[in-house]
Amino acid sequence: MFDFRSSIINQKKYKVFYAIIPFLALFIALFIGGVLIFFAGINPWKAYSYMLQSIFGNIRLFSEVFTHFVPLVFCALSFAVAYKGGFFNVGGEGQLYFGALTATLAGVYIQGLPAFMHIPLVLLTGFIGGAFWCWIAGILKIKLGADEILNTIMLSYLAILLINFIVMYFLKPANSYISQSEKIAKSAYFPKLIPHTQINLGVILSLLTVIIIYYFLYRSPYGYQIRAIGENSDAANYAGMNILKGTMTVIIISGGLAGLAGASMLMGTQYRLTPAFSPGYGFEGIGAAVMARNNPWGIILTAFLFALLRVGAGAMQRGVGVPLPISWTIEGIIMILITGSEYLSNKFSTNLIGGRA
Amino acid sequence: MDLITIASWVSMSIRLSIPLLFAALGGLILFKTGVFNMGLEAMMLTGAFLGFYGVLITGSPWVGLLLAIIGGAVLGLLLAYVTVSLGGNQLVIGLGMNFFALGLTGFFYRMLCSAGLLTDTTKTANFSSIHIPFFSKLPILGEIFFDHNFLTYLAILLVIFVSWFFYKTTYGLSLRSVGESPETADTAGINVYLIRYVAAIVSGILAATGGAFLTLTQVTRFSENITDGRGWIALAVIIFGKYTPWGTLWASLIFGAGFALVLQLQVMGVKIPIQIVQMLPYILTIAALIGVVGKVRGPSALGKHYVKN
Amino acid sequence: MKKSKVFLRVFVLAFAILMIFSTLAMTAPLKIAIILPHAITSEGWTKSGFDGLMKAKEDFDIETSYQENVSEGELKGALRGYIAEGYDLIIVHEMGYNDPTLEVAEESPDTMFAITYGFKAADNVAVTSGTNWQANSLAGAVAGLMTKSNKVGFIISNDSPVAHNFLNAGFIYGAKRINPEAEVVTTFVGSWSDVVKGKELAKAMIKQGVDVIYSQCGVVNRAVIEVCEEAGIWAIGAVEDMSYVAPQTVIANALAPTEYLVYGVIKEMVEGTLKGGRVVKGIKDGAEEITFNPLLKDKLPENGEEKVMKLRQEIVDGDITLEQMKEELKKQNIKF
Repeated sequence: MFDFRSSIINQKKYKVFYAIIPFLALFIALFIGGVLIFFAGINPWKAYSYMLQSIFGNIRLFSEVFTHFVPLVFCALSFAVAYKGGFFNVGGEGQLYFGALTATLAGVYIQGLPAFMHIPLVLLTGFIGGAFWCWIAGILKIKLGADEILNTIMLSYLAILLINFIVMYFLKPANSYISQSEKIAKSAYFPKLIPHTQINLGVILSLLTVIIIYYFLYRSPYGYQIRAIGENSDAANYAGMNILKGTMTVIIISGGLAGLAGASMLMGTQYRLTPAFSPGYGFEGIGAAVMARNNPWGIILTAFLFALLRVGAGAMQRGVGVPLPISWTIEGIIMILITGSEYLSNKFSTNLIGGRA
Repeated sequence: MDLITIASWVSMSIRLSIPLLFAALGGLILFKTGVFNMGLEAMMLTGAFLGFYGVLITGSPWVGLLLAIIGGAVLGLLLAYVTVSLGGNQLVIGLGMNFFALGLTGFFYRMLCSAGLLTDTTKTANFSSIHIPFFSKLPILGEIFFDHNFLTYLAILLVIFVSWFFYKTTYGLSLRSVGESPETADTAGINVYLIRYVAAIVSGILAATGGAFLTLTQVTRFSENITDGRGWIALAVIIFGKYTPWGTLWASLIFGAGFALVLQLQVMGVKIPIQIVQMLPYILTIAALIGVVGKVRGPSALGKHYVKN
Repeated sequence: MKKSKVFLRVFVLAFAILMIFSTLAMTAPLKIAIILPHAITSEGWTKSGFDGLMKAKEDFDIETSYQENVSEGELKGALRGYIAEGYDLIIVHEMGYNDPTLEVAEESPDTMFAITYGFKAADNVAVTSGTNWQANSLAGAVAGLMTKSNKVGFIISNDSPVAHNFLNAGFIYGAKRINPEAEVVTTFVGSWSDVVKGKELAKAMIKQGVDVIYSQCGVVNRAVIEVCEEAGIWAIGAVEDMSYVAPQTVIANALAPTEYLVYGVIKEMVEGTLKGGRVVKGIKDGAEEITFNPLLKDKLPENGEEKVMKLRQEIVDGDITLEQMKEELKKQNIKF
């Protein structure tokens, strides 16, 4: 009753089952969601079909999905890259905020640059900001042995409060009563790919990043080292790899990716920094990464799915009255189911899967 | 700062520390067996909601407490099943549970409102303070020590009990050995899985009680996300307390005192930007993590999945 | 049948169908939506906005929808969602969302937008605002009136420039105007919903000698009133009449019913008179008021009500403005 894993783990047919699991998890989660909707006195069929109709039947609403897709991809990649390197970066939300801060500074206070120079500059500062904030957590772990799960989370809350403080006391224009920064220069706006929609440069950038990360992790010698360190740091050390350098690399990249999420939000839709800047993309990104089992290509699908869920939940509330928390419940169920199905992985490793002390 | 202010601050500190103490104690018990509990926030929030629901429907805070305990046990069981039996990632299951609980409690709370069970004037009963005869009338000391509700006293008693259990009983020894080296414990005939399961369920019960403390003693109504990160702070408390029961008590009090100080200063007219003040608990935690309280050593097998051969 | 006759019948039929449909379209009810920053279950601000919509739904033939818990990051998405679904009027119930709303409004000139308590307007953006200081200063006046310890408390949700320059300035002026000895303790909860913190702040204030508390913080207000009831001191209700929470404790209420503002905007939309631009409504327009709890009127000191009403009249007549209030406080070196 307690342990039946070992009896099935070597059976090949479960490899197929394993690949289907994310879809199965989605289906089960939607089903449970449907049950809850039914309890709320609303017809689940009606609710879900309304959701699909409104998203896919309306180009403007459909393009809204991309405003969530872009930051989710970056945040999911952030968690996935770190995970592969053996570092649990749960502080993506805070790194997003810090990256958004540095990006805002570059976007607002550097004027007069043409777009083709300004945009990369702002992106770079966003990356640096996020990388810096994650680096702090990394230093705490490496030099002082502090567990990274806790310190990334604590730093995350700290970052959100810090940005709140900085926006209100430093970035707010003197004569304004609203707590927000100035707008970034027009030269830092992401150009729109399809006019009058939300499909902008950010979409291309996020997809490009997936490709880059894939090649980096799976097709380059550095990536190989990083994944080796992540899977078994003792063996990697024995094989002569520089653990410190490898870990620091993933930390910087991971934090930088989260910072890019913040920068892309700034340049794509928000155009200014505000206290409640992110509606939780950092944590949701972790969910998307988990569902995709940290595979960059899978992340494209899962981030899109989570973005759909967000827009869909909003549409369901507007149209049929389903309370918004339903989408968190569905995402939570997916995460729980995915976690529970890890034993079916044929790459089951006692060192990594259980977590680190 | 006069005595009245100090008394006010200390009693506020105690009140604010109790939810943390329950959750941290629960987390500690599971940590000692080598399993992370990252779902403390979910368990607290669920406990807060179920506690509220129970007292709303029946008018008795005891029913609320019972429901909270059941809810916490269920979540603890889920955590055990996924991490101990299925070997799932202990961090991600916690995060998933947090999302799930946030969504579920928010959803049901709104249904209560739209079903008309909750109106503007609804007020739910609380556990009343137990006024210890004679002592509670003492000036200053009476307010600080002798005028709390039963859950507060229970929490303190629990610390004493858990400490005795861990260090003075064979069961406690077995539990701790599971956390240090499950292989050795297994060879000695201890049922590692059973101990972890029980610890997880107890963990859930205690964390849920911490959440219920909020809705059954401090406020008369649930509000969405009422726990607001206390579950994560409870983790900090465990570390700050160096993974011991008494340490957890002191750490909870220190954190509670920190929160209380922040409020007290505001009331006294000291003008500090509120964000700075809100950052304090997190800074304290990081200080603990980097060893300001000295080397903190967790159970050796913490976080590693154990497979019985 | 002759070809032309067939043709004629088809034509008439098509014409009739077209008429029916266009009439239906023309008489199709207006679609009105409201975007709320928090949950409708969090009382106070958010709920009153929602109530305004619901009340309008009862009185007028409109289709309504709401979206709650919309954070700044999600605002534009929510707005565009409603635009895409063809809503005629979208009300944004949060002043901090002023700028993003204007930006989205530019994209959709045929849609009407309304912001409550905002600052900047546009041709298709109507800003309806309360004053944020009138009712608060009258609350301060009542506090100054009722206090025996000369210490009164003000609990606000979030620390912001508006909180200092409007709410706090107004309250402190009102208190000092009636009672120059009065000292005001202002604290911030840090959210609209952290009831535990709000209660602790109130308790701590009372320990410091405060004997009248005015809380302007959403769900927290009720909890603070309960603390006042337990401690046996006075409380002043905010936004709506909160006497029902503790009828022997709530001495007065500073009304600023945002549902009135929301309802008014919808009414104008239905009647076709809603225009872009900013309108500030205060006591004079019936949007804010101070009311005394009839059960407790005998507890007011002699001429107390007259003193408060005198200040009220000055505000209504324009004899005293917010700028003058702030000037006066600065002169006396009082920080707000």
